Amino acid sequence: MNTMFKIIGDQFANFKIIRRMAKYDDRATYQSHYLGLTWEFLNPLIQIGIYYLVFGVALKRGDPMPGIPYLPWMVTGIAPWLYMNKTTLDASKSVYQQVGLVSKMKFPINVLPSIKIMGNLYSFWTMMAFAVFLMFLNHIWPTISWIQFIYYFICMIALMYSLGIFNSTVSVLVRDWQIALQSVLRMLFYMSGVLFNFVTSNFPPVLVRVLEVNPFYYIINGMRESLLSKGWVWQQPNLNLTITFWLFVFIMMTIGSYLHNKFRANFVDLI
Amino acid sequence: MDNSYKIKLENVTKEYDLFRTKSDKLKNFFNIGKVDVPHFWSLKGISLAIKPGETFGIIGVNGSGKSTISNIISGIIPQTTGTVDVRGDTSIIAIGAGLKKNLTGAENIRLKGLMQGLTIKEIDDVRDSIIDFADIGTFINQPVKDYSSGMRSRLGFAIAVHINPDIMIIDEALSVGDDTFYQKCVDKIMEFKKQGKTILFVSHSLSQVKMICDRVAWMHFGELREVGDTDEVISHYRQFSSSFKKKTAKERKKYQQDKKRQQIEFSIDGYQQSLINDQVEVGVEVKQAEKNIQKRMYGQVLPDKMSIATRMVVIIAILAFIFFAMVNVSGHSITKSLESPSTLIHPVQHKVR
Repeated sequence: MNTMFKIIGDQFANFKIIRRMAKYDDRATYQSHYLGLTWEFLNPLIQIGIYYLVFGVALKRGDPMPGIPYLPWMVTGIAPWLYMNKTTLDASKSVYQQVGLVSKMKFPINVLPSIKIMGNLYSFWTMMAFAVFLMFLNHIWPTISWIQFIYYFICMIALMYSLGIFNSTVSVLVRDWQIALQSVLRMLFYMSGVLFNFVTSNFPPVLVRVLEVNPFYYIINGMRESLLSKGWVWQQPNLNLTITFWLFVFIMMTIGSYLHNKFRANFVDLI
Repeated sequence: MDNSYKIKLENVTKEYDLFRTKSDKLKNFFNIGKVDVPHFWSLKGISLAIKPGETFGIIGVNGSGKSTISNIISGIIPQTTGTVDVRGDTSIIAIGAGLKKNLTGAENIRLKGLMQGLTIKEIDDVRDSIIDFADIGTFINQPVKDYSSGMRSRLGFAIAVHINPDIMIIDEALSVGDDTFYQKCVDKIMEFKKQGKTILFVSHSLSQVKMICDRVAWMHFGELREVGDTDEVISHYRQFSSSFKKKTAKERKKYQQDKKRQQIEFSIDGYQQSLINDQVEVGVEVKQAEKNIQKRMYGQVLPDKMSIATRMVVIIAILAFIFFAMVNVSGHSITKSLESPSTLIHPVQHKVR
């Protein structure tokens, strides 16, 4: 438990390093590309276009939430999803990639996942701005409900870090973890209600309630509800889900930080 | 704050697990069963104080724990027990140099600078002087994997000295360069010495140590055999190695094996007890002595095992997680589920909301 608090404290103590390295990371990745950083936004936009054609136009089944057209509904959900998907994968690789470097210098290894979390935020905000733009086009205006977005954003960062510290440690020890994680995330993409609203679908109600427990769904749905003004955190089922979500984060964080601390010294030998 | 030391180690030990197979490693990682692996004590209780502005050398044969100690001081690896107090920023220079092979020299400078907490502007300020010092010239924009080993270590050294640390740790880094570069490094070290910086110098080369260091520690198979004036320690070390060389190959081998076995058989509890006994002899009460030593040995170390309290909390959290997940799946309210838990396995089949 102390380990966990110490690791969380390290994140705040090294905030400046995280921010600078996140910036550098971004620039370095796209240095050899002609379009540079534009790719970071072009890629998701192409994806959104395809999903819109397939799910919004070809398989049109009415509004996913009452009174909300498909496109703004999808983009408010797919923006956090794309961010979480990329960040979970990047963060799980973060320690493995840098281990040769950090093993030769004094550096708090536990901030490596944070650098990825921070670095991917730039494209997240752009996507979010695009989502808001689409909402305005469809005459959906901000309400007091938007405040909840801040809360869900904190949830998202907490989930990303707890998964990050756990996955990054396990990937160093078991190389297959990375591939397994990719498959799980691909599956979760369809089960987190990113493209269609399973709550209003013909799914059996029990299955719907099983799918709701997924922490990714909690954030995607939460951000959607707050931006589209469709629900509050303390309303059911959100209340149940809030408890399960934070318990999940807590469990991942304690186990992850414990493992991280235990194997920190051996990261180099383990590869 | 008293200024009598810059770096202080107290009863520092370092343990390594000697896993035989990869599956042992994994079992240990997932805590499945108790895998009984042999332990190797790379440091068997080191206490050491280094004064501000001192150039301190560490000598010893291969595998005596020199690099372990320099890594612990620089904060790369944690100690198993004991307290380490380092007052200031450290910068370590080791043979591998810790560069990323597929990045160019310039990118490495930027990355390492950022990791040490410099801003982009600060890095740009020292960039030219790093390139100049390392004598790399036009190679700076080539990937480091194309560098010769000398260029690599020069770049590593140049970056480390330009980060401007209070404490510099040099771990055998000078043995790779040629004479010109060696002289440049020595000049730089002398400059640091004049500025009153603390330098820790780990080397095999007695002549280098003799030239640079004020005081020297002699490490011998995980123990601190002698600390003192450079000339004195070095002459003792020379006596030892010449007498060691005179022995037959068999005797030498036996001696090394004995020492290694001692490092495997070292008992941390026995060591702790002997420290307590030492304090009791000086006149400290037994209870107080136990407390003091416990604090000194484990006060700074994050526990390797989950404490029982943490375990309990995690188990409760997992149970609660399962409970609330089932409440949601079953579709009943929380209060109803608490009153009659049997409803949890009889989910409502229709929509609840």
